[in-house]
Amino acid sequence: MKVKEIQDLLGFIAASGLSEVNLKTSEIELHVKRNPDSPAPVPYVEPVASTMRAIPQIVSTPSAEPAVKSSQPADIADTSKYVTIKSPMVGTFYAAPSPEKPPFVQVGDLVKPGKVVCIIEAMKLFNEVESDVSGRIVKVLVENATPVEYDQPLFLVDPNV
Amino acid sequence: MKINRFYPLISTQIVGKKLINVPECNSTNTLLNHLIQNTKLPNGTLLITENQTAGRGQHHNRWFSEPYQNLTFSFLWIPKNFAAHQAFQLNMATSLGLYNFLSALLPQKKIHIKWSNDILLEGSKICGILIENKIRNHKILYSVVGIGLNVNQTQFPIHSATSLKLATQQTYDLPTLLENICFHIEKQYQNLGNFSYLKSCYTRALYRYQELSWYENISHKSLPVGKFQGTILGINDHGKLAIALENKLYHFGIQEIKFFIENV
Repeated sequence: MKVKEIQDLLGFIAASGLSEVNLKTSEIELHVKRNPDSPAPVPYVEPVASTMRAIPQIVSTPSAEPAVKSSQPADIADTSKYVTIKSPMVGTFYAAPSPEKPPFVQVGDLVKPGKVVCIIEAMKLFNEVESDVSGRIVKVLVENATPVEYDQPLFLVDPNV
Repeated sequence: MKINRFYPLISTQIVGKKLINVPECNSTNTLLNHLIQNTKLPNGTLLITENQTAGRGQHHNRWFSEPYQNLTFSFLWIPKNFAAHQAFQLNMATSLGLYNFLSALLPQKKIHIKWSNDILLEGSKICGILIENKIRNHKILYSVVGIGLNVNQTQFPIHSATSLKLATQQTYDLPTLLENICFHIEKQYQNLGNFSYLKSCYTRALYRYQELSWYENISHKSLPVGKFQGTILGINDHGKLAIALENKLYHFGIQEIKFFIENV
């Protein structure tokens, strides 16, 4: 089963409103249970970083192995309502203007377009990145002072606030 | 000590047509960044001081400059439609402007661009550049381009620095130099958007281009940490430095590599 097929399947389940799905094929056994506390499902938007990491684990499990129990689909239902702020360039991510200063934004902070959320340093160019969305920061997806790629998600933002 | 007067530039179209001269400030980049957020400034606005008390270099390094001896200024560049991922072109265009200015002024001297944006005269640093961009919707909203050029100062706290006067024993008129520098930089800014042209000029001007030299690998994952000998062959599309080592090409980010400088 290809990664794309699994993504499509999880997206379908997330959008279906089904609370529990058990699936068994010759290649894979999948057990998906939605968190009962999670809000009504919303259409699947796009895989975000946390789900992308989880998927290869499923794929790499040989068919002979015991059933894969994955808690990720619940996350998909949760994160699909979020949007991301992505890196505009290749460089190094800095959460604060300087090491001794507090970060530009933290989890729980409200952002809107124009609010500076981080600095990306690219070959000695210092780039103050503004948010292009409105909402509340749910998660910072990148460690301070680590390399980021072009279009890599940096922040998870809940726009429904 | 000569206190200079700076007037709006005449040989440029955009850069320095509006010129703000302050007697003293901590950093021209910091002050211009502050001004642009609070006032509407025209494209090319240039801020200059003769007494920069807390000049900034890369990564919170300080840029030390004696009052009235050197050029320390910043200008504002407001592009119309410039994608953030093309930002390295700003490094190239600014470096090339200064490189061309110095090459024309001192045709007998060896001028180089040390990746990514230091300007060297006979292997010693004469000029630093600090570019800060504001990014909105993956585009550069504006850039503040800061330049420090050592001119008439003759004593430096670090051995690896030099000045025009140290190199030629002449004293230079700062307003004349400013006019010249901005003319050359503005000329290069007309090439922004033409990556391959800027890249070919920039690559040829690079310090140690196609020379076998010593480097230190700090954190490139495909190479062992420590000293190695390699040859600079250019840059990639992101501005990473391309070094050949035993017939393989490696691309280094700014924190991943150090140059070993023999005369330091």
